[in-house]
Amino acid sequence: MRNIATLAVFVAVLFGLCIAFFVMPDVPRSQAERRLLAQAPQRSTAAILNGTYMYALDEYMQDQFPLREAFRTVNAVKRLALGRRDTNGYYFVAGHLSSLEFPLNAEAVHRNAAHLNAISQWLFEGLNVFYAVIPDKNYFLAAQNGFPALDYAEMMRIMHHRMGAHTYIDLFSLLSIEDFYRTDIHWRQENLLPVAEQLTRYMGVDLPPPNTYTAHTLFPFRGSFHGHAALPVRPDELTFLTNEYTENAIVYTLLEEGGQILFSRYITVDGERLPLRVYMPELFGGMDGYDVFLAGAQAVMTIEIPNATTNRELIIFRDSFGSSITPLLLGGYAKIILVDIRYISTHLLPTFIEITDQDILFLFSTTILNQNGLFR
Amino acid sequence: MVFSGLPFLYLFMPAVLVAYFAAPKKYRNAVLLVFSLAFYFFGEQFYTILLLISSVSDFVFSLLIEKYRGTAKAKIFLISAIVVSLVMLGFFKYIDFFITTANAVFGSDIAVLNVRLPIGISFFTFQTMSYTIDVYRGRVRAQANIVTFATFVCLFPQLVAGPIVRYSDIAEELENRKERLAEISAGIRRFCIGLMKKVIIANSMAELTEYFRYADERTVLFYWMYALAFTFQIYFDFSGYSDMAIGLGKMFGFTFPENFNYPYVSRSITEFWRRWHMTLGNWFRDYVYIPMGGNRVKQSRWIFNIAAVWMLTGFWHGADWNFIVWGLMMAVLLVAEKFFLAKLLNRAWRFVAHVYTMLVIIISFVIFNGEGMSGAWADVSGMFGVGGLPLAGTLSLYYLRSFAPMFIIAAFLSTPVVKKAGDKLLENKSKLTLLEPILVAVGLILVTANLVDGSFNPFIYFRF
Repeated sequence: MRNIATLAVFVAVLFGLCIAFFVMPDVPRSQAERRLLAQAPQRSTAAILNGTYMYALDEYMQDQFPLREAFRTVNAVKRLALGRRDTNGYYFVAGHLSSLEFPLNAEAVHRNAAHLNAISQWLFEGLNVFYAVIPDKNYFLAAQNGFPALDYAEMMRIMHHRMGAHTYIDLFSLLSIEDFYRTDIHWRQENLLPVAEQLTRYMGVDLPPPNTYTAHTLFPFRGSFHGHAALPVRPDELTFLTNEYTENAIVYTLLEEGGQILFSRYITVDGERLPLRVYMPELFGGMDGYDVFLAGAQAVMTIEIPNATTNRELIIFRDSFGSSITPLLLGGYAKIILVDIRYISTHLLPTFIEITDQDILFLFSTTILNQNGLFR
Repeated sequence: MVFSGLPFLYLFMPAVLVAYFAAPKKYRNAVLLVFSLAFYFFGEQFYTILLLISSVSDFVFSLLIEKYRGTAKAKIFLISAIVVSLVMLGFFKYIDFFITTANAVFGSDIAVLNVRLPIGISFFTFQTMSYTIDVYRGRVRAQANIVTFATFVCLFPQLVAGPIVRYSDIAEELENRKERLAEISAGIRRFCIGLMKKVIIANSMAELTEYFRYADERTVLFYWMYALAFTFQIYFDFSGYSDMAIGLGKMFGFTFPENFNYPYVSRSITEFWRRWHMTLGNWFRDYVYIPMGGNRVKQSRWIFNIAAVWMLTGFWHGADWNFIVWGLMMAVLLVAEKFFLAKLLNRAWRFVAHVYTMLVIIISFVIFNGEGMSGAWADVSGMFGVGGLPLAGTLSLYYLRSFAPMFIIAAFLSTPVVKKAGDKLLENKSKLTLLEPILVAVGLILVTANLVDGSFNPFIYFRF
């Protein structure tokens, strides 16, 4: 009986998954991991003889295996059950997923801060320049729970040293872990009104009161950590705040169309041309739900506020965190320009940005500042 | 192709099982041969020809040895067969080592050839040599069927990582074997155990050794964790592969020799080598040590024999000086144990003898896994804080907490306690025996999950 049962189980698993692998259709991309999946490799005599076909077959099977997401979850749970503190560099503590970020890359911080300072000296001489740093989730979770963490004090010492006389706006003391999504790297917009207040207070700008906003919630939001960690964690809600300024804002993004680089009021997603707005709920079901905020990664964006009560302008050098805080600043400005120097070379900036008497804000997260080679 | 890969488990295995059991008995060797060549071709396209050369060479020379038995020609054919195997092994495994050494010794500037080592060449050349020597010695009859003989040489379960199966071990089964349900079921169990040892324990330990290699932190604690992790990795990887090979063999009706017998419970180095990679130890004993005179010679000659055999054993594991030093270190310890150390260990507490053995084994594996002699020396000296290394750091303490449960599990599974309990359970005819199929299912799912997730899955036999 035992022998028959063992044989039956073995055959069922082996042949069941083998047949399912052949029967189930291939999937083009993984929503959870936010990447394209390997497709069936082309068979050719050359590829078989030089071994590339076998290598590609291995990758293809791994990416297209039946019940792939379920197996990834089983593996992540198994690793933690066997005592591992993290799974593939992601950990779960205090209801939050986070990714290990260590050690401090002092050389990268020096280089990045020097790069920002050089931009400021080159383009913004005589203007009001501010800088703020957004702590990553590890600032609130890692050291307190026995995980290795960045030396944040040293990072800020380097930033202050390199950024010279520019005005520093502290955000560390305003934020807590509750201000971040549980399954994502980013902060929650609905909790950022005090942050927006802090930024504009330093820059001498008044914002509309909080009660002028209307909250809109989307569910389920599975952040980037959710898919990468593959742990069974409840998804987040994604809330965005609208008011008359966000509703009326006119948004442009710099893109290439017909061989020309120009500002456009449209973006193309999966072949579909979409009008660009401050919030784009139609992108919620895409690769990254966070793209709801200003359509995700864009090199240069211009936001004009027709109903503005001021003529002040602001240029923000930012990473993805900037996408969700910017809408909350719209009520204080007539125009905001967003620049992401991860996607545009710094020396091209004068071509696309007209510099007058804007306020300048460098707003980057610790995760970006700690990495080499991101700024162009 | 590796056993711990999705193509093997979910393409190759179903295909070979269907083809094998659907084929009439007289064609089953041919089925195994075809699939074995495909298995090798998947990983080593061009070098598959070496496997065929090795098979044909020893097949032909053995028939000639048998034909000319008792004449000088038989010896010539034996030497020819051995020369073919050794030239193949010497060129593909050692040529660059010889060139590098010659350049260092003579100051020459000969360019290295960058010859890539064919997977499993150390195993299949040793198997074919043992066959031809056994034919010459009259211990086995030369196989007259090329398909049967090539099946022995190429048999995929033991092709790339052993155990070193001699022809005499499976000669009868090659000709006539029965695949019984009980054996198939036992084979499945053994295969799954090996798969879990490799994928769940060895790969986890391998991750830690990889973290160590790429970390900036260097502390005494981290060096010891690395040493311990590699000690467990190599055992669970190698013994896991042997379990998988033995299990697969059983599924197809073969009985392969055991290769590991809980070596980490040993209380001396002598005992360790009776329990570790037993088929290799037996091979060197029967085909090198005893022909050199074994221990029935003068003391000085015996010491020389031991040194030679262990130098060769080390060299077999890899073409670098650290492997030779590793082998010679074993020789020194084995001689020391023979002369006086064994008596001391016998009188000492079992715990002391065990600590001595494990300490030596851990250090020896650090040398084994070093990046050349300088790397090995750096790793061993790091374990003892040479250069004023700090005791521990943030990273090593984190990894200690993260890997401590796996260390405990690995240490526990390195003893026969679980196996004894499992065997007892299997003897019991109660409902609990349904535990086996459940464990097989759980094991396969956990292993598959690991592979689908793309977790670290190194192949450590590329140097063998």
